[in-house]
Amino acid sequence: MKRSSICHLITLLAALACAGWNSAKAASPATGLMGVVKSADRKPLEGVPVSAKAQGSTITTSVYTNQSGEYYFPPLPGGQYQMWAQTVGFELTRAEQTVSPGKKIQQDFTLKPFAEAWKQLSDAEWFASLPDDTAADRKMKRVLLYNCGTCHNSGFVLEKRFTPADWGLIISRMSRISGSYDPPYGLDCCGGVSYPGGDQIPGGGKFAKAMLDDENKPIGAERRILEFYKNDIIDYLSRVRGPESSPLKLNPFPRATGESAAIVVTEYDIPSKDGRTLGRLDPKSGLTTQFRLTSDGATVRNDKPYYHNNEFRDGSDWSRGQRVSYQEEGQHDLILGRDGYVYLSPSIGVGLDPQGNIWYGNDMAVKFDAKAEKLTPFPLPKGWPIFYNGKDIDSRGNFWAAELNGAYRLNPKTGEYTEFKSRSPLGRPYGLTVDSEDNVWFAQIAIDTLGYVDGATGEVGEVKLPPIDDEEMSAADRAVGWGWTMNQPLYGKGPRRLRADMKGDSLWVCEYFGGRLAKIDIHAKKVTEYKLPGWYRYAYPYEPVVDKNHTVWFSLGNADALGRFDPATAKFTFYPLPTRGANGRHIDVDNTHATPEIWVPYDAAGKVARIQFRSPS
Amino acid sequence: MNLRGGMISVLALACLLAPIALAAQEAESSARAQASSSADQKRGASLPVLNQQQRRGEALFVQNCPLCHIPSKQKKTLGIQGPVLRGMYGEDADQDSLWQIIEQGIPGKMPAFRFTLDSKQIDDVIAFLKAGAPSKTPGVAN
Repeated sequence: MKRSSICHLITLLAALACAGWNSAKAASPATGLMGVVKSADRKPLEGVPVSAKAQGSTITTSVYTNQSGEYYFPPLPGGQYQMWAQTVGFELTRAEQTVSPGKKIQQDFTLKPFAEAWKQLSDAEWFASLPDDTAADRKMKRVLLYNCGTCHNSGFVLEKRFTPADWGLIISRMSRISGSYDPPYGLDCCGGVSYPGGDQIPGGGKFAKAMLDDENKPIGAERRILEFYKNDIIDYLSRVRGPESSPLKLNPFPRATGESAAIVVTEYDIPSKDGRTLGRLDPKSGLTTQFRLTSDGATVRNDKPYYHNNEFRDGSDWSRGQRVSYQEEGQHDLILGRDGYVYLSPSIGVGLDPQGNIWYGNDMAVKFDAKAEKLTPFPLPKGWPIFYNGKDIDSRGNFWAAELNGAYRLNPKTGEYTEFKSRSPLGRPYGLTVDSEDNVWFAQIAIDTLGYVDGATGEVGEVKLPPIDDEEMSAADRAVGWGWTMNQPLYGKGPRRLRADMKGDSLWVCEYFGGRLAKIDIHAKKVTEYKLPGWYRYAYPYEPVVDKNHTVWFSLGNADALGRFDPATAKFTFYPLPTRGANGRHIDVDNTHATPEIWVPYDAAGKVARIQFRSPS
Repeated sequence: MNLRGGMISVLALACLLAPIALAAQEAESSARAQASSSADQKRGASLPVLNQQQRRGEALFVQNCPLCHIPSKQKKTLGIQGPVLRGMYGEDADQDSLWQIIEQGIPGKMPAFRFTLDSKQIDDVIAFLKAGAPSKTPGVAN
């Protein structure tokens, strides 16, 4: 054999070995837990999730059936397992099995029809099922999308039915909540400080005309939007989700096939926590150790955290309806450590420094020394606005955080914070990330603008996203001013969180309300946008992450799915998640495997998920 | 005041507010961070064990009720805080009165849930309330 052939053979064998079980197996293995899922009329069902959870375990493993209705699990630890299979329109069906490593265990499922299939819909499927025949109805769907979805899974709203008076009562209360965050007046608007710009509005300028609430207090940018659409929303909800017969046309998405169904989803229950507690999940055992920063600066370790789980509200049974963000103790952000652990941040935004330490924070930066297992706080100067959502670490180990006026940089060696003010005022900095050249980017969600701090010069600049111009809206809709995070105009896109290709020159941005991905050339600052296909328009893309192959993965708050975008082909692929109402937010990628693995925390379902990819059978 | 009337009054007070939306997601995290306390583990250890029906009721409760009936600083500031139902009702609470409030609501104050919850679900919610409504709803120091 020629030397080159031997090299090729070695390379091939090495590649197969590295690919491992998770991505290499196309056919069912000879041993393990497996079976077939059929409907009551004996037809195989493809794309059905089958889940298994061992007694006393925090780990649920789910796989999907192929076109023959067959499924098989990866090797599972021995034990007594609860199993279940379900899909929209079919009853959840349970089974129990004892798994012994090395043995073949066959568990078939026959799913009966489920009459109340609407209860099982994902949030985006709710939107797909709403009336869509007129321009007015299509617009109202987007009005709901732009005014309810920062706080609520859409299904949480749409599964309920009230009289017009009661919808009116509820929306009025919603308006007051919006006003609480209302720039420039809302009490909770501005990072714990009174906005120094007085009457300034998002993006600059002042309101042309004052608006007052019931107590003669001025109404700001966000509440103005909700008040503008308030009566339309009440009328619409009263029609589509009122006491009378609902004009829904059940429209579930097609079940996953081929590549989309060739995944293994491992979900980990997460324990209760408070705002000062960092979780460290061991993916092998499924156990979480917590580290809490006490008020006197000490670190307290807890190896037996409290779990408050309830199977009726954790999204594992789709027929239980939709979640809301407060329903389960969800996890908003996570990050993969260099030590094999998964870190569960107590607040939004988390970073990993060059030494492998974890950084997060809400009102101050906190560093977790992963080796010493010690938390260290870095207090903000008094009177400075607290952090907004995004945090990251640059190549020099500086901590960065989004904030009211732009971004902070913390030098960990000196504890000194420096503020970099955005060019546009009140843009509501949200996500923040560092690109491959140490430029720091922050999404100004309220004004469809991306701010950046040049990594070499410290100069601040901006990139504007163009307004939506390909969807139906009136002149009055276009005259609505900028909002904030909860209410936005129909022409807005809402850039939420963003991540860079660390092996390239692209920055990727999720346009939450606009239902698009944006690619920014970090040198030319050129913007290229990609619309999510079909009903994924309503799926709330939240955050992207770019793997070592330049593939873009993104979380979807409203669709119980993981998105994938191949920049080379501009092709979108969606992978289902087995929990209903998961509300995926943050996302991270494990590039240590031949085939990258994706991690998504569920903000509304008390779990975090790892998604592994098989070769389609 | 008879028992039934008294119960309705208590419920009317308890249900002053309709379900309301929560704060923005990013603010939620902040609220979670600040409102929860280190007593989580202690509180968890002290929570009663719920039976199957009460657990179903807890799930329905947190899906339909906590937006008014779980306290927060923000809701108090806005004047839209409903009374906390935790511990308000015991085994002997009047079933009919609870049923009526949930099903019919209170005009102008609390929406009627008769179009959203079926009778079995209302029973489940009441079973949970009678267990003391010991929900450890995320993000709030209840």
